[in-house]
Amino acid sequence: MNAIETHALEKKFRGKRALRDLNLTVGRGEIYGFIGKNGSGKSTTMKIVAGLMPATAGEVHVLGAALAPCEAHPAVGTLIESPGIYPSLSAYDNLMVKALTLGLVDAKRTCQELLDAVGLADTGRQKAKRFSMGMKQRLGIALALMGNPSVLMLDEPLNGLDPDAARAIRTLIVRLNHERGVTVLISSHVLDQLERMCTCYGIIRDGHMVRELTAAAVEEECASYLALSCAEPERALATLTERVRGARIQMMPDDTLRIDGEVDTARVGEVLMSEGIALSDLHRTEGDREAFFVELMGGHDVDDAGTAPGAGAGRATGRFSRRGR
Amino acid sequence: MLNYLRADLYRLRRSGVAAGVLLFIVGFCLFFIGMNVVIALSAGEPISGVDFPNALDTTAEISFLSGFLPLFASYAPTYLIASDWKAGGFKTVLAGSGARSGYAASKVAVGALFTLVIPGVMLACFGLVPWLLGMHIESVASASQLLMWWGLASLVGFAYTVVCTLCAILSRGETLAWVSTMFVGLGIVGNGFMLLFGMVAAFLPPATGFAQIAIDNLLYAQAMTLGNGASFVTQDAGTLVHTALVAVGWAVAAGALGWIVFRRKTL
Repeated sequence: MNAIETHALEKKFRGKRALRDLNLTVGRGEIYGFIGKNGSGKSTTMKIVAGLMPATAGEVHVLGAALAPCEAHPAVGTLIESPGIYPSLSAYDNLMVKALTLGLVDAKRTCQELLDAVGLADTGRQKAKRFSMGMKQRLGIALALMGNPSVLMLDEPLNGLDPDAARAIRTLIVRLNHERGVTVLISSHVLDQLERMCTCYGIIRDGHMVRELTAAAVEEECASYLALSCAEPERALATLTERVRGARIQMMPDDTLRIDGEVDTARVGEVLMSEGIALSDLHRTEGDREAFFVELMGGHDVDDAGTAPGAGAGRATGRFSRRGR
Repeated sequence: MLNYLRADLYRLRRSGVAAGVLLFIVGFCLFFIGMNVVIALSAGEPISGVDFPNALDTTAEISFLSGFLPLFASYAPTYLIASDWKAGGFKTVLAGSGARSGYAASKVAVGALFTLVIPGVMLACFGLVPWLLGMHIESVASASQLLMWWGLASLVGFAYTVVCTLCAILSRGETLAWVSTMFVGLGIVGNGFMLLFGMVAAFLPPATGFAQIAIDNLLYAQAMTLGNGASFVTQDAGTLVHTALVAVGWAVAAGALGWIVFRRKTL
């Protein structure tokens, strides 16, 4: 039984399709990175699964149960759009309000445990309006965790955080996943942070799921390899397959050879030279996960690169452009 | 609904809103009494010679001439709703099964609590403080009269509060929630409705009967003529019952209409 499944999900806003035939599958115990450009439909999907808006068509299943439109599953905790914090209350009081709303039996103990879990136990009576962005996000996660949910949906919880705060949130999410077995569906633009915690990825583009793949599959697709160009690619393929052990060699559509595995570049050169095959290019290509994901998402926004100040720096840290479709 | 009510009362307590509203009411009453004392003392009269008006009349005058009671009774539920709109986090809670009815009912219950408590606090202040200061006060004829007026004032205030609460819930924004409450609480919308019904009756004589059923300005009119010694308890039972039923009718109508819209509203 999967934690979250959507089948042929569709959503239209005033005739414009925001989601089309979206199939998403989040297995239990996974940390699922939901990736896509701004306006691709990530938040819309999460809102539909959270019961905040109805789908135009399609089905949503959470923990095996089919949900009616605008129905939330009680085992799902959400942090969507904003943390939903009352600024005039302390962290403890914010948690108490939600605990009382949910009718938890041992509200005080639960709140204290959650404060400990997210590292806000020492905030005391400090009002939430004085919290830093990272503290607010951690409080938002604590609120989402109220009621001990099996599934946690976090919509861009790393936005606006400095690296230290982002790391704290990431560590918290991984710990919740490992210690409590919480399934996490997380959307974010910060790819390098996602890469360090996600076990699965789903890439959405123009409201449609382009691909779902495991972290291992991403690892494999983005592994470094030797790229080889020569005059006789078929003969080179046969020779290297025979004489270079541990190499996985395949012919690419442009007649270059891709050699995966722990292979010494010099050894490849020697073998081909000894067979009299003239090399025109031999180099190692490092795997670029960012490029891999960006390509799946539909590439960078060209206008953004040329006009937005600091756009280059943003991409260098693994963020996508801010422009929508 | 009880879970929401517990959470709302916790928020009102911890944010200081409940204490703030009640302290303001007490402060206002003390200021009003203090002004009477200062005027008397500046005229060279002893405090015991100050003839403080009937607590009932004073409370009624302040409550209904100024829209004081509906406005302050609506403050607490509006604060809760407006801060919910601002925070936004309650949306995920409202997606739960049966959550919307509990949410709305809790806010109405908070309003009802304040409409009951505020006139009581005012009555206590206007009755006890002048007595403690040794001022000459008029005594209320009987406890039943006091309770009857208190109940009637609370009921009418409650009708306004229900309208305020549902307007705030449907407003979809913090600022709009406050604006709608200010309008309704100040009696502008309420009296506007009454005037509208009056005009309809004037232009459409067949509607006169309906207007007479739906309109009731008893408390407002009584507050306007307090100086002539009018009192609520001198009205006949039928008039009092009509006043109560009109308040209940408006509360139920506003509640039903608000609920129909709210239950299908996209969050």
